[in-house]
Formats: sequence, structure tokens, C-alpha cells
Amino acid sequence: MKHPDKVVGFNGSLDELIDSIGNLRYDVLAKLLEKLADNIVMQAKGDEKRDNAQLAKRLYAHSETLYKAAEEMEKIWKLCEPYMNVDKK
Amino acid sequence: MKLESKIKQTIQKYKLCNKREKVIVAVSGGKDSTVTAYLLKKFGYNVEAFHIDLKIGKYSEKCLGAVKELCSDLDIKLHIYDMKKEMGSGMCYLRTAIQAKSGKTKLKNCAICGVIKKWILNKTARKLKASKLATGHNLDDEAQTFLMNIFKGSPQLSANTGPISRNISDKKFIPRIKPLFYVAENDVREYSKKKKLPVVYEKCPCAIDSYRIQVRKFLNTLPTKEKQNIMKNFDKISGKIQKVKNTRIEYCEVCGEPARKNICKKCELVGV
Repeated sequence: MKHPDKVVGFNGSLDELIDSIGNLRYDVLAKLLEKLADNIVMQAKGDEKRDNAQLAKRLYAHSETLYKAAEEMEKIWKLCEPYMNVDKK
Repeated sequence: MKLESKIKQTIQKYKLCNKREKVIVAVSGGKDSTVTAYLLKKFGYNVEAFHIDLKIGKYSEKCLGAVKELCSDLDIKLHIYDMKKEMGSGMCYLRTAIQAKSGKTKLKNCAICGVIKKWILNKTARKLKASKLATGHNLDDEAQTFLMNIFKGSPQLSANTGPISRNISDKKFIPRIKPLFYVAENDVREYSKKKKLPVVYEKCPCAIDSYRIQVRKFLNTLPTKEKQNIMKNFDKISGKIQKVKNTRIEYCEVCGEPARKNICKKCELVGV
């Protein structure tokens, strides 16, 4: 798999990208971190299949950190949620 | 069918359960617990399923989906334990917090998860008024556990090993049964594929670097017959182990659940 060094379809700078992502509502940010963790797990599986054991192990461990970060963000969201006007579908 | 008759034989020989009592099957979405639930239902036992939603991203979503599909297909009542709702955190979060607290003596992922899941399973099975709690442990799992206990110099920990939990008799402890005790993992995998059961075959993303994984890798180099021999030899010496160790049950001072010491392992871990 080729890892690009830029976000495909985004022409701004990294700082601009971070501004957009970082400003997302915390529950959305939590979901984004969780999906990022899922993506890292997928990469870890791929490397495991290719016998890159050390890399796979590191990626799995990193995905855990991201899952934890996602939940931390979710807890932050829970604190803010009552004070925000959120449409409940 | 060979696998089915082997499991039937185990159930009958060790009197794992009868058709009047309620059996809760702990289903994870993996092949072993799925086959356990499928066969107990097929054999006509009074089965209900229990799933712990660990909340580990997409992996947990897939597992939950598989379990729901299985229970809907087989008309099995499903109980779901949502870790975030019930314990305030998903397994990843809870575990990393425990690991951070434990400092130097870093506990392995699967060890922590195992303790917490066992605690939830017993408590819930009792709440659901189950007579037995069935798990999908297979021959490979048991051979791993037996060897791990020996390697760690604690063969007495195997005293309760068997198709049904031995040496523990307490009103708050729901006896655990393992119908797949004598069935090799590969046979379970083949069977689940043949029956096209809804199964998540991928491993848990957090199952990294545990002692069990190392032992599993070693055991996977052996043919099934050798694994069967390990358990046959265990059967030979298990009587002696039971004489040495008779598990005394106490109640945890914090949560009131059955424990070997005055504080149960789960409460010791989460540090309440």
C-alpha cells in the first residue's frame, strides 16, 4: 500500500487541515479518532499477513492508544453535551 | 458427524447440563462460542445467549452484528452488556487506565480483559437465573492454559480445569461448562465454515503480546494428537491436584461477588 504524504482532495496546508478537524464537535471528533483506530487496525492486519510482525504489533498497540483517545474525547463530549444545542434525531 | 457426537459425548459423560435447566452461552461473535450456542440449541437445550459489547471500534460492531444474526437465525434470546453504559468505559479505556496505574508490573491486555469478562459473566448469569454458564473454550485453549500454569509454576491453578468447573460450590457462583473441551480449534473452524455460521474470524485488535499468544504459537507447531495427549495427561494428574487444592470461596468485600481472597480480582484491578 502506498502512503501519500498529502490528504487526497485537500489542497490546503496541514495547519488548515488541523484547524478544520480540531474544530469539529467533540462527539464527531471522537468518532473520527475511533475510525482512525479502525483504519490502523486494518493496516496492522495487512502487515501481519505480510509477516511484518514487529510493525503489526506496534500498529495494534497504537490503535489502542487511539481507541482510548476516542473514548476520552467522548467523555469530554458528555461534559459539554448538556450545554450545547444538539438536534436529537 | 464426528464433531457433534464428540460434543454430545462430553455433555453426557461429564453431565454438563440437562434440558430443564437454563444455560447461558457467553457469545463473543467468534467461531468457538458461536458453535457452542448453535449446537446446544440444536441438541435441544434451554439456551439463552449473553454478549459483552467491549466497544473496541469496528471489531466490536462486527462481533455484535454476528451475534445478533446468530440469535435471530436460531431464535435464541440475546442479552447484551454494553461496557460503556454499565461500567462507564469501553474495554480499551478501562484496561489502559488499569495498566497506567499498575506502573512497572504492567499487566497484559488479555489478562485484564479476561478477569473483567469473567466477573461480568458470573454476575449476569446469576442475575438471569442461569443454572450453567457455557463458554466456547476448546482443546487448544485448555492445553494452552494447562501448559501456562505449569510454566508459571502454579499447576494447582488447573485444579478447576475440565469440561465443568470443579471444586467450586457456592450459591453465588454459576458453574461454567465447556462443551468444546475435547474439540480441536481447527475442527471448530471447519465446522463453523461448513455450517456457514455468522462468525467474526479476525482476532481482537487488542490481543497483542500476551503470554497465551506465545504458548499458542508453540502449541500450533504440534499436531492435534499431541494437544489431545496434553489434556489426557492432565486428566491423569487432575485428581491429585484436586486433593492438594480445594478452592475456598469468599465474597469480595467491595462488590460481593465470589472471590478467592477478601477482594476479588476485578476490584483489585480497578482499584475500588
